[in-house]
Amino acid sequence: MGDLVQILIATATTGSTIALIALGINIVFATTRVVNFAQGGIVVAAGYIAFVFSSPAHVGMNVWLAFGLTTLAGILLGIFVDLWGVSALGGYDRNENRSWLIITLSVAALALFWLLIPSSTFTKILAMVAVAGIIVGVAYGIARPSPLGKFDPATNVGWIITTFALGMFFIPNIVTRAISNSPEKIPELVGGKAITIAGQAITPSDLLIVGMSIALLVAIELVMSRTMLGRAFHAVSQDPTTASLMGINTGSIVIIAFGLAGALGAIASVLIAPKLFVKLDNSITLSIWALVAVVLGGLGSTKGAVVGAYLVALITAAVTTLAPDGDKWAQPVLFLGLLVILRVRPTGLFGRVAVEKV
Amino acid sequence: MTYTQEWPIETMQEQYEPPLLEIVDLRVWYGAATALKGVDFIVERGEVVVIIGSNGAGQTTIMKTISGVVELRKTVEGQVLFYGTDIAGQQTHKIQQLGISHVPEGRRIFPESTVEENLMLGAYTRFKRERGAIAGDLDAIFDRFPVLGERRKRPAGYLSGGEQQMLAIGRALMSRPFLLLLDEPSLGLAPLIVADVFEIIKELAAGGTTILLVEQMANMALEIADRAYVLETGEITLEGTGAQLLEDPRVKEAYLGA
Repeated sequence: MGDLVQILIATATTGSTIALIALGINIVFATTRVVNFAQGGIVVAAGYIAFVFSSPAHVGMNVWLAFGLTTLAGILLGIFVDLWGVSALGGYDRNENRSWLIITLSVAALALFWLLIPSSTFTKILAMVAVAGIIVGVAYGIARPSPLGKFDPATNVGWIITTFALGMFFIPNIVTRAISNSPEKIPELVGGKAITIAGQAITPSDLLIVGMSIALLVAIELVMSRTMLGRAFHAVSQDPTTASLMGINTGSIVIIAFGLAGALGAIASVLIAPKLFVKLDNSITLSIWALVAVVLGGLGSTKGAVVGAYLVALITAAVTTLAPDGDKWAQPVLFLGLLVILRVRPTGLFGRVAVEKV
Repeated sequence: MTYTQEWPIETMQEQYEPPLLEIVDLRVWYGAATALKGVDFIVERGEVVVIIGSNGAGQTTIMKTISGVVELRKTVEGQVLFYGTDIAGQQTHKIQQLGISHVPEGRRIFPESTVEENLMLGAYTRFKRERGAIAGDLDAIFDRFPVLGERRKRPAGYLSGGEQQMLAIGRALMSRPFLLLLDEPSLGLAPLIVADVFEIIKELAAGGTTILLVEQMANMALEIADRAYVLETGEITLEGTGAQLLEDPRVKEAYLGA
């Protein structure tokens, strides 16, 4: 009984967090056909940013205010990934050369870190920025425009390298160098007494994670299905050129998608912080969980991402709790489950085969 | 929308109304390949202007250049004057907002969105300011195309080719355009459906919509044209009223199969 309750709590809390991150990956994929590998990096960066804002040793502001500012930072990080990692490869609707964008951003980043970082660590930072710059440059070099004359993630695969480099190395490394290299704690958003069921404590934080995640998921789903903005998102995801013939500014829709994904990552990061701490490893763990959730549910399907997220959390929690040495087995079992499901349903649980265009 | 041309001598001041659309010496290249070699034509308000020509003569390039669709290694020279203002090189969504609605070749409806959502997307730019009028326009489209009304909640991808063409035209009309660009509306449709589509174009023209139509079904297109142009490998080789071109021996031989 205690085990079961423990598994359920873990599934509900971790699953909700993964769902938010996965939804961010999904929204970006739906509008651009780019799988944003940088999402996990944004989550970790947002965690450390929230730590700086809320920790008494640094800024020490009210934790809810820090939460709000971190969400804002998440939006900016998301847009940064778009501009530097994806748009820079050629743009969506135009074929113009965007190398100026990469150069400008690189110089701006260098200047910023010159000011922020003590001189002793500067050479390290410089090397890191240079490496990231070279990676982006190489990706830009191998990226070739599609025959359609617009950014086509299928032929223009530079985004795989750029989003991966930005998310796994660049963003988290900059943040950990600038802020902290060790696991940190963020104050909980809500205090109060825990409820105990079968010897397992359910804290107000747990309830907040689940409640706020579900509220956000429902709100986003309503916006996507009921509003003109949502219809514009669907139009851009189906056919960007025709969407622009409708008067839709496809570039700004893509920016909104990346910003929204960044915000969701930041919110997830702050919500889960009391459970996971803020640490560099989360970048990889959360990325893998969210990517597995998205693929399991079916890329592009909102329902799929949410169901996939809770399924990933359930498998992980069940194996960790029940099996001896469970935490070592959680990921192998997870991937085995993914393989089995993809063998049966290659497009994931809720993925559709695209409606044929006549 | 008129603008006053300031002449140097005050007594000569007059109201000058530029044509709705004026294409001046339009040259387009794709890399080294020339698509348009200097095309000039005019569309006046309320007219149906038809451009006929064989496959690959450059009609679609004209349409895409007017509505600002950017393609790979495409270079544009010359002017696209809309109400006398050069719009060449502007972004597609901005050109649409000026009142040019483009029904692209191959219809390009949004297959996963419902019929109604497709139509609402046509009114995307009007949504903020004219929200109230859109519901009425939607009803008007459903009156004109009852088959769309019956299927309004279905994904548009399940419609037949002819129904999709009606949807694409209806979607373009939802923006209440000043100029409607129709690119090969008969493409891939059964002859009976093609006749339907031309009937609709005729109705629209009678209702005062200005239409620029690109079509390979030269016979039917010339019958509804006020004026027409013949485009051959990127150049306009003939022009006249629809009736004139129908009688022209060169047109008869090349395009009407006589």
